[in-house]
Amino acid sequence: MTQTQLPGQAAAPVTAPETAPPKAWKWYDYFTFNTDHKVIGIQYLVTSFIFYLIGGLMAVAMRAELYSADADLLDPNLYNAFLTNHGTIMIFLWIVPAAIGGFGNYLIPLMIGAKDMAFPNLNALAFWLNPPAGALLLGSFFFGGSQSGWTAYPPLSLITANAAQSMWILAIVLVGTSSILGSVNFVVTLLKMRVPGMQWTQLPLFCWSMLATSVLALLSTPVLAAGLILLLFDINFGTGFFRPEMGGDVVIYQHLFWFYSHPAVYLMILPIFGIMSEVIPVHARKPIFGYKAIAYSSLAICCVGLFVWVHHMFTSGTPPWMRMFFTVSTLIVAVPTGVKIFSWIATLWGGKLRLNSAMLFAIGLLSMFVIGGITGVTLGTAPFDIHVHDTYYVVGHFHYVLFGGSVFGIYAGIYHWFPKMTGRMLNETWGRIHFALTFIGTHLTFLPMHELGLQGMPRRVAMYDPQFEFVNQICTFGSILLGISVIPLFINVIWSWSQGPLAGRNPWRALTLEWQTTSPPSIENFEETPVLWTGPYEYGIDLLSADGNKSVQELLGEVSVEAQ
Amino acid sequence: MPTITGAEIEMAAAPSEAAPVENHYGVGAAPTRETTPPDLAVDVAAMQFAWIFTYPDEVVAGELHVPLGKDVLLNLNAQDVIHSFWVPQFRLKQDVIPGQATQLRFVATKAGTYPLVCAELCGGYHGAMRAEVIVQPEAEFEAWLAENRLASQPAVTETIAVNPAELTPADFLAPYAQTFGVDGGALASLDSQFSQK
Repeated sequence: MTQTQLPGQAAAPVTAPETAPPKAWKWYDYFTFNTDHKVIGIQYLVTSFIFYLIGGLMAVAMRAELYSADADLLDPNLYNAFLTNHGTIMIFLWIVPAAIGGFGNYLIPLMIGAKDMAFPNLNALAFWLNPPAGALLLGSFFFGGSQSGWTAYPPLSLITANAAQSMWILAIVLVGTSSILGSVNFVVTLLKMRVPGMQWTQLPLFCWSMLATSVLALLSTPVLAAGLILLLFDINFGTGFFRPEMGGDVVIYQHLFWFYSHPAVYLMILPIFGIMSEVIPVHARKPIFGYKAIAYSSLAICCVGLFVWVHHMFTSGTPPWMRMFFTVSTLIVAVPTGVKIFSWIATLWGGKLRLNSAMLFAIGLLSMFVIGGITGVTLGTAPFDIHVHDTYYVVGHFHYVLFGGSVFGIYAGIYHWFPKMTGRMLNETWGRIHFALTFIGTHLTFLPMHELGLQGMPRRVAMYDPQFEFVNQICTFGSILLGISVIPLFINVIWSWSQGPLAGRNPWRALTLEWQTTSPPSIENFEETPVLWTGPYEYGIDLLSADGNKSVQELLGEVSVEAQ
Repeated sequence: MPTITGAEIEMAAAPSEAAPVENHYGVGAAPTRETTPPDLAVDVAAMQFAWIFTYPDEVVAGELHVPLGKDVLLNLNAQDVIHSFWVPQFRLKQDVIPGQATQLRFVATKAGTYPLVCAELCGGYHGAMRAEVIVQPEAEFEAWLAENRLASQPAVTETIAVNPAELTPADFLAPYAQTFGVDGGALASLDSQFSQK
């Protein structure tokens, strides 16, 4: 914390020692406006996990309602409020803040050897926009809850539960602002604060994927904000942008909405791809296959992902050329995604696999995501999409991608980096039980949904044709299993946080920089600026020379000379 | 408001047979057929939470009857919010958008009764917004239409109250024509004399 003293300031009083930052954060520091990226990362993770539980309870309530064909358990309007807020919470208050805010903030400065993010105050501000957003969403239930789906298509959103809908809009605008502030921070940090000598090709792949994520968020989020503000004006201030009776156009809203919300899918999966690229080589003990291919495919997804949004609108009266164009662009996304999938499989191939909880979730993610990806390709094809659009087939598809993909990835990340974040190991047995329950529960809940959609069950319904009752009951049992599956994780995390065996600096023998400091890292991460002595994924390569008698200092001296 | 011609989808209604009528398969514009008039045009009104079908001659029904193998054009319009016209067995779906005329054109090739489902969230009872599509041979369809045409004609004898002041003399006298032995010609001349005054 030394500061260059300018000549004129020489007489200025030296800062008193009591204002110096403490050696380690106390528990209450995690409830304050704290600018440490690690505190902010954990704030994001814990807050989002609470919202995950809330959104999960809504999901179980909906599945309980769907156990029978009639709307007998919940009032249909409450059901719609649950489906709207389940989607909103899971996207905007669980996956996005956990994957981007949580892991992104915690890991990026550590991985690039920086002391903190580029703009620590902005970072803390971005986090503290989230709790009010969550409070607005939960508070909206006192006004009936927003009931028009997470898509909030007008005119339904203009005529249903106006107060709750307005609160919903404000909540999304808050988290959107948070996302923009966070993204600026990530981009600047990654561009400017890498440890000296770290080439772009030595950047951990998680950082590449966060770069792509941030650029995507910066380009798309303002468009959603614009659409939602217009909607807010239509509801409250008498404008008619989306009111057909006043000459407004409801389809324009859909374009504004999906221009953000399709890239939002990549916002939720790109950081997870980054987590995969970190977890798999460490536990397969092999260099990652196709480093550059994975890095550039993230950027490719970022670019192509901006031009696929109309595939959500194939039935909205889109002209044929648009159907053609957006079918082709959507299918192109499968190429960079496939590059990643094959690279991970090639990394696993012949590796010395450590099948611990983190690795199990990563491999589980691979299998789930392939299913979700294939159904995604079918959905991107206009002729098929016209049949299954807005059906349970879509619900099955995106839960394979977002639950089987994103949530599995967040779990893998938690098992992988928990020792770094807390300094203690998680319990392996409970981790495996958690994995088994989640894996079975996911298939049981979401696989039958494809069949339901193909056979003619629309999504977002509280009551349905009784012929679908049996398959829906299977889904409901699966969702109960998924609800139970969170309990082992919850207990494991709470118990291990204080009682788990000590982890040490590098329990996984990983090579990225975050493992080269203490667990948990000290307040400014590294005692001294770390020296980059290896690439991020050079596992299984003998790094020691045959004589091996040199001291660590000598080795470090050699590599720092090489780095220059 | 522009008509969305791109919404024309033509498909066989018999996925299990996979034997579509010539030229009826595929998605997108069908330029060869765009200019030909359909065999039957039906106005479809979608509202929270019902479908109403209006046939030529003001026949109104709560279920969609279509003749087998005929080219049917639906003119869809939404009364309140967005709905979506979906017949799963037809593999056909089209959003019904307020403020925009939307069309759907198809040929049903297999007789039967199929569910019609609203596929776009439209409110609390969205899941209950269901109706039926009945594909029947042309003769059967014509019989159904005739029956409903009769039922929907306002029969004068059943009229409970009319305001005579709103009727022209010809209309007013028409029911009595038989009783008094007045023929159409006499009525017409009477009408012309009356209106000359």
